[in-house]
Amino acid sequence: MLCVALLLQAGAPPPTAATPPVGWTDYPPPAWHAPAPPPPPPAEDEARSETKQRVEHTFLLRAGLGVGFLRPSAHDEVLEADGYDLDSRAELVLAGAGVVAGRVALGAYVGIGRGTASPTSEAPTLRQTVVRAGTEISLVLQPSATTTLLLGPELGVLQGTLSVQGDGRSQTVLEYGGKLGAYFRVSDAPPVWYLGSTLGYTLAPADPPGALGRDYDYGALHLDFTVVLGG
Amino acid sequence: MGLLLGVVVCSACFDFQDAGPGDPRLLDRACLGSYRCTTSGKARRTTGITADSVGFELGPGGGSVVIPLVADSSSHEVSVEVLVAGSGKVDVSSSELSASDSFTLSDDYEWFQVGGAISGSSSGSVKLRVGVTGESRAELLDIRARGLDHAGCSVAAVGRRAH
Repeated sequence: MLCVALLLQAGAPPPTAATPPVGWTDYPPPAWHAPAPPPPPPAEDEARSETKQRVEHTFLLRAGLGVGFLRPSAHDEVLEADGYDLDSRAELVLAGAGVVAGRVALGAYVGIGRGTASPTSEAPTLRQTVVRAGTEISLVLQPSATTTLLLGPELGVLQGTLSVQGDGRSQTVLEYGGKLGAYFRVSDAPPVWYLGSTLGYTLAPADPPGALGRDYDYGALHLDFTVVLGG
Repeated sequence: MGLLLGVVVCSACFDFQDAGPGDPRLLDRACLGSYRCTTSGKARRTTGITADSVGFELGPGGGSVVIPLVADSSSHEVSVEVLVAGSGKVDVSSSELSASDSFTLSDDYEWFQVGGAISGSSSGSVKLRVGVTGESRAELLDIRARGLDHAGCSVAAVGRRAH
């Protein structure tokens, strides 16, 4: 009996996807089809799409509002001895840069800053005001379609004034340093807007603001909330 | 009506925003305006921590500055401090306070204090003298006080202004 069954099976046509082998009762119904081959990996498509979304900018405009944490100096210690602890100032910075070669942008910046210190509400207030302007070279990096990084040095002049009676003398000094900004794209249609933050560090060494005291420094560690417009 | 007039008249010399003697820049308040600080010898008035503040350079060759102050009440202990840097020694004294002391200076600005008592018969006017002799050299940046104030209008000095 077993031999008969084997002979019948040997004489039967070979099973196909639509025709189950003889004797297989749990075979899928005739409508069954073999599973479709897997689609190509999506990574290629996404990468291609991301490349399309990436924007090559010809210029970048930047506006930042933040805080400058003042660099310590010998005159700072004198001010502290006299009762003034001036350690930060509010800052506004505007900058514009044109992309001149690949990922390199050449631009200029202007900024203002103001800080005050008063040991008591009645004491004369120590005020620092600065106006800054200069040039900057930036390396423009786009690690992803939605992120832009700016990195580079700054060189300019700073006019700073320190006063307690509202009539201090302005000092014009060289300012130099660098910055690093990280900005995230918030709009798709051109012009493209970015929001992010800029971290900078500048030095601006100066003579004593008055006839006495010690050397001062108008430089600062700058931390700004920044809006960038890319065109 | 009289009360109103009194308030108006007194307000000219009664400033709630006036800094106290312990606040910074008492030297500015003492030496600006009509109450002049006087120098003698190799001493000169200049600017201090800023270009709009007061400072004094004393020596070398001997020199001093006299700063007019006023006591805020009679018969009590008072003290005054000077913020100075330099080399050699600086003398700080006041005949009204019967106080005199000498301090060794360094390149770092430091506070030096002298104290004394105001006698009941005193007019309230106190002259603080800061000086150097010989090759000593001093930079006077500021002063601060307890029981004394500058000779202008102030809450602490109402009714006891120096003349």
